[in-house]
Amino acid sequence: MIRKIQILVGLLLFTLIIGSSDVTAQIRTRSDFSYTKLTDGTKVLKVKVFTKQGPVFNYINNGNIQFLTSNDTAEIDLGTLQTDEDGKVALYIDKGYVIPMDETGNMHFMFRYDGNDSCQETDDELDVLDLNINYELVMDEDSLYFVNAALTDALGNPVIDEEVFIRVKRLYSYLPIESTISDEEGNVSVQFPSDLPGDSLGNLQISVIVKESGQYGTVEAIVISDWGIPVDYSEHEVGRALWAKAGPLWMLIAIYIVIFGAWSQFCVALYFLFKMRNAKS
Amino acid sequence: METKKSTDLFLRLRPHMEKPSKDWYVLFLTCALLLSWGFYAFYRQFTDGHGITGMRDNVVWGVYIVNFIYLLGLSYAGALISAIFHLARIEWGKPFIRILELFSFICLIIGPIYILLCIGKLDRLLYLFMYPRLQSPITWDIIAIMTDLVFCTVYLYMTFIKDIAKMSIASETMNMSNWRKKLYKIMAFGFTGTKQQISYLDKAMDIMASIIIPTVIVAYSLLAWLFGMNLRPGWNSTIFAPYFVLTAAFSGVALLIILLWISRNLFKIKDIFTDKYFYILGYGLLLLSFIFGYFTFSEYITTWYNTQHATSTLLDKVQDFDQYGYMYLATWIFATALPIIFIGFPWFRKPKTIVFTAVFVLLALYMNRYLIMVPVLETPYLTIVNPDPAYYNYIPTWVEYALSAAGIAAAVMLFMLLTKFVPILPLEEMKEGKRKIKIFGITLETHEK
Repeated sequence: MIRKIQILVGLLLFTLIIGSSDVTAQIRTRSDFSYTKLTDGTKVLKVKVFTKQGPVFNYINNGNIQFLTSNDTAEIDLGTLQTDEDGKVALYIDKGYVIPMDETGNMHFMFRYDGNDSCQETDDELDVLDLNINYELVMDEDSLYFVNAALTDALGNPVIDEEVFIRVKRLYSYLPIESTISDEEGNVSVQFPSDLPGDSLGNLQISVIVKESGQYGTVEAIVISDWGIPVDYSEHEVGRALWAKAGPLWMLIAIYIVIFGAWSQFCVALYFLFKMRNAKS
Repeated sequence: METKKSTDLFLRLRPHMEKPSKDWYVLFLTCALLLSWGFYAFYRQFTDGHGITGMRDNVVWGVYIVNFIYLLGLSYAGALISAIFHLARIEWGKPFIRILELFSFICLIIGPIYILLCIGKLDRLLYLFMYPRLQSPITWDIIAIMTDLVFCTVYLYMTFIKDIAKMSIASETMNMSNWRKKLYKIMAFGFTGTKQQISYLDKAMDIMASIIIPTVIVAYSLLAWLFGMNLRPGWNSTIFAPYFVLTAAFSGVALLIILLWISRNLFKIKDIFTDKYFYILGYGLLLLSFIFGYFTFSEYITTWYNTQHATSTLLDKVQDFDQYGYMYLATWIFATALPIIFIGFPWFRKPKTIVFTAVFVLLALYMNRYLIMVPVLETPYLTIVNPDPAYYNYIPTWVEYALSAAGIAAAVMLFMLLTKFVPILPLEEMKEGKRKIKIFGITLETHEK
């Protein structure tokens, strides 16, 4: 009897534990946190929060993300924003807003998400050094184009051994031109092609970018140059052709002759059919 | 007008037209069930979208387009052979000319439905007519199919008139509903069998037959050019149009053999569709299999010597036994080896083996169309980047199987209904045999007027 009661109580406890764990379970929240510095000096902190159940990713929308930085003594609130339907949010920090740095020029950023009924809270932080890209577009005596850039940190020291990508904005994405490593003076120089089609004035949007660096995050400088070949994008009146609105004349004539020929014969056949009906006797 | 032979034939076919057998109803009900399954599949496809089929971004055409091409090929073959027989006054072919015309008409009705099933946005179909580009092969094809549908329907009706007029008179003494008697009277179109009427009707049929021949060749060539004018590896071929016309004729003869076999057993007309017909049509099938083999070999060998990456990838896919290799091999065996073995060698040559071969030829030519469509769409010039295997491997779903089965069921049902409405044999065209002719060394008695 005692044995049976023990089993019964054991089963009851097991059911309660399993049942209660199901009710209160919160899924672990995952996040991506990144830093980007734009051409005009604006700093962008991007956060993406999501959960993963099996192979499926669920993005948390309307989640409150608090952005923070810190100095030696305290945390500084940069603002709280809500995530969109893709679980993303971005905080733009104006160039004029001074971010506290330590003696090495290091900036400290954090974000916090308090979670909700189904998702756990999460946070993350990152340390980045400020990086400046000073670019210069040069045409040498042989009429060759070069993109020169100098990388310096917040204290004005050259940034060495960082990979710099030179690329050009096209209709949908960027066309990579070349990537190179900054030398011991923080300089890079890349020869730029002279045969790229530009807009109607020959303008090209050239991007000099350090991508997802461990120390500096993403820093991009965009410059407009007139090194492209001007292209006339206005629509011209195209004559008759396979690809034009109106096809080749010979083709249309041939098609109409065939259609008319076949259907006229068909009409003649119908004419005989009706003559047959009228010739009953 | 009446002859002993045609009256005798009519009396033999009359019971079926009055009250079909129980087997007829069982088969009709089975087909109706299959058709209902197809309607349910269509409802699901309409409400759930094309995601319920195996078609995806890359393989945008699957079994539906294969059905469409296949059925149109059968239809064009039927119309072509029938029109040639009529114009050339080939009297010995008259007994099976009605069957040719029937399956030509039925396939032309059902085939285009499959192209509509491929279209995701049916509401935009009207744009094809509102904003046609006359230099586009799609516009040519639409014009050709619609023209052909009208011509074949009218031609089929013309071939019916003499027998319908006979039925209109005979129905007065037959056990059938009044609406049917009235319909016979209307469809007889005032035909009473006078010499002048026969002359006018023959003229009308001659004209229709003479325009149907070029129309079906042009129409099926246009369908082939839809693919041949495309730069895709496997489609961009100069021989596609004659290749399509040839395969259409090949499948048409195969289907004719099968239908002759079914009709002669179902309607008990072994004395009309004698063994000799099977031997003659079997030789025709053998001849076409040689030409088909030659065309297919020519197409593959020239493609094989092309060293373009995309072309090589396509050929590898088609010949790989983990992908389409078995289908490719089966196509060759069924369409070329079997006719040589079972028709070419006199030891195996029997009506049953000829019918058996025809069944496999039909199957082979369906697989041939499948190999022309699906592996090509799975091998685009640009790499498919989507990791989901459904995007680069086409596998038909139950919806496509259901709608394909429904198409076959609908064709069988239409054939059954039409042969209940008009005699399976063109009775008025078949009169007492007067002349004997030799075809492929086989002596046949013609049914001459």
